[in-house]
Amino acid sequence: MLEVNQLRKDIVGRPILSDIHFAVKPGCITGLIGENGAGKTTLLKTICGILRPTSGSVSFDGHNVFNSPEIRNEIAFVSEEAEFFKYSRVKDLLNWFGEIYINFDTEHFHNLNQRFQIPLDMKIQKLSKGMRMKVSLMLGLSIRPKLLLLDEPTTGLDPSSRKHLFEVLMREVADNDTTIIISSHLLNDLEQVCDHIIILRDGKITNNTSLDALKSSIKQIQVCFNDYVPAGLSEIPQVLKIKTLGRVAYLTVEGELEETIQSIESMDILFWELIDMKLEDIFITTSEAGESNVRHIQTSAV
Amino acid sequence: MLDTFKHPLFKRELDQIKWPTLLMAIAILLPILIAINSIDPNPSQYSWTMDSIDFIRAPYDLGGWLVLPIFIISQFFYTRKESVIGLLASLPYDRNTHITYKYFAGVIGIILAYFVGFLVIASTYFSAGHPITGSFSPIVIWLLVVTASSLFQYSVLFFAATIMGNSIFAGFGGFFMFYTPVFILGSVFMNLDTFFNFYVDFEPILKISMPHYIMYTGAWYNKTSIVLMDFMPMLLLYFIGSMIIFKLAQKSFNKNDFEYNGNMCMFIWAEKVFLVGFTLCFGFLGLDFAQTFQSGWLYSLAVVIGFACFPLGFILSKKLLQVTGHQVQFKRS
Amino acid sequence: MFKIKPSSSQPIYEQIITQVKESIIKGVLREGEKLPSVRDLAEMTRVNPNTISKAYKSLEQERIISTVRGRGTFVAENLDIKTNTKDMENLKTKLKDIIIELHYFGVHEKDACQIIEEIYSELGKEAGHA
Repeated sequence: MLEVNQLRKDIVGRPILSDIHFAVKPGCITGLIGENGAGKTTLLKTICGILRPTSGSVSFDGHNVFNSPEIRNEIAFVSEEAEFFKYSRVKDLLNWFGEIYINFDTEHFHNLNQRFQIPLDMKIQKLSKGMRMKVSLMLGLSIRPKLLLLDEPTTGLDPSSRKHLFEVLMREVADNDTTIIISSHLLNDLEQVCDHIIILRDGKITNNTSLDALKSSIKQIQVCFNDYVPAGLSEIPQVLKIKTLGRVAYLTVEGELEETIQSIESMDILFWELIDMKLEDIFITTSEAGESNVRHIQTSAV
Repeated sequence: MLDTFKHPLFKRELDQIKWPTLLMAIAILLPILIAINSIDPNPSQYSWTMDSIDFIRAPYDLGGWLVLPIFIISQFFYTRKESVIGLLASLPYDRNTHITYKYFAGVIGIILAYFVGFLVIASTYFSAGHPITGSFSPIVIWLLVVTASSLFQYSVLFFAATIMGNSIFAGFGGFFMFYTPVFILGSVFMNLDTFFNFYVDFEPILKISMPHYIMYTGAWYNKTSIVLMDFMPMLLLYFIGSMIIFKLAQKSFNKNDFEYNGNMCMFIWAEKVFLVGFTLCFGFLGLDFAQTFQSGWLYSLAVVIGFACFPLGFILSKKLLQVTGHQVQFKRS
Repeated sequence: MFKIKPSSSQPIYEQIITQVKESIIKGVLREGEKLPSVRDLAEMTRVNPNTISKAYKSLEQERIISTVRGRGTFVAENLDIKTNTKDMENLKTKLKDIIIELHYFGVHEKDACQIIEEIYSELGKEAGHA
């Protein structure tokens, strides 16, 4: 069980993270999403003990991660920064890890490598970005962590490797109840894999909900009008965004739909229809809403 | 004890000092071999006394010292790299462990390098065909003193490396960190004497820094030998000094915030000290250099430039901080 | 067998429930046949195992599938497609709503029945191809 308590991280006096407070249960896969510079990597690094919190704390299974080195046996951090030791070979790194982490499972590494096919004799320096990510992932998983942190794990991976990555992760969670936090820009991948979503904006958490709850909190409706799109649409309180195309309006609505539907049906419409909204769209909407603080953004396309 | 050598962190540190240790051994051996080679084969001339073997005279070994920055750089270069420190910090070891193993790996490397030099001299001493007069003890004393002074110097640079976020600046600039205050003090007194005829005997101050002392007093040229010098207090001073400085380095590393890796200084107070120290040092260098001119208009010009070195030093130090990254706020709002 | 649409507004676990039911109707899964384990299905579809667990639990509650310890999860034998009366009532209400909507589209009884027949034959065709 991961608990982040009132975490604040300042760098050169500027608050990179503030008011970060959340908990993650075992076996839960959490997606950490946010714009570039929102603080995702800083948060992950603070959780695994690389950065010292300015105030607040991070504890896993009751132990403070920064102060107790032993608990770090259960935490693995996978990132593309996996430069490690450029002049060593993969198998040297593997042996080194094996001596360090008490639960390290070398056989597991080899099993995983059957899929990823990284030559063990190759110098790390010679590996491509994607291959290094794969090595980092395999090492991380071979630690047999209870908490797995992945920072943009799909970087440099071709679609086939991405597929493998998620297959491996799903198997990991199913077998070991690992707690996983993934930060990624590829929201389409996260959509089917995560239970839970945390949205980070300017170092603060703006959303911390289950994926299902997030998706049911914002929906998109397509409304076809008989004559023209009335101005009164923007008056409906739950409408966040309106896009018009001819006689059709696309509304992004938050909260319960009933009131909105009632208001719409009282207008001169032909029909309305619920449209699938991807996590990506939801994220973009919440960012725009946060940014301009304008609830109704009217755009007309011909 | 033997288990320590199997520790993965320690193994890695030892691995990192392989080449610097070799380099140091060569740097130590070279003057020795040259000296041995130049011994007059005439039997009546042999002596291991200080006068005949040049390198033994000084209580420090320049060759070894010159390699120390390389030692420090090879130990801290990757540690100060963002990508590697991330990995290291996430390992299930505390910061103390990291820095302690690093230090002792360095200590082992240095002791080894000097021991190799010692073995070469000793084997020459004991080999047949070299009838030698004179006792063996100066050699042993030499080994102890140079190793101790080298370790002390290493500790100073090591401490500097835990305060600075840039291994190269730490390696080469670390010397200044310790000796600059002495230099500044000495310069202050020297200039007080020159400009205001206010003489203070600053020789005792210089004794703090052995190399400075030797250079200022010309002990090098006077062929003062360490055997005649009181080497026991020196050894003790170096040993205790090294321990104290290592403890400071430990504390400093524990307080490091790795997000500032790469910056000149890891701490805001260090940046302020750097600005002041660099300015004064640069300024006094200029001023002292001006003193070497005898008199006349060239002298006056030199003195003016010398004084100008102070603001120049400040600007330069500010630039250095800006280039490597800093926490001190420079803008006046 | 399972085609998950992650961006659909229908939660993934509901999609899985629907697809299992569809598979049974089409004959892709027969009574007593073994379903993929949560682990295997998670790996295959790259869907969160917790989500799949949730779907399987729900199906188990509806007695459509059952888990035998140590052996796996199977489609229930003697599957009674007709569920309890409350669910039946809900479905009837939904059907009524659709009929009313169709009416407003100008689709009346005969055309509505034709549409239903078309859907049945479609499902039948899909079963044939499955």
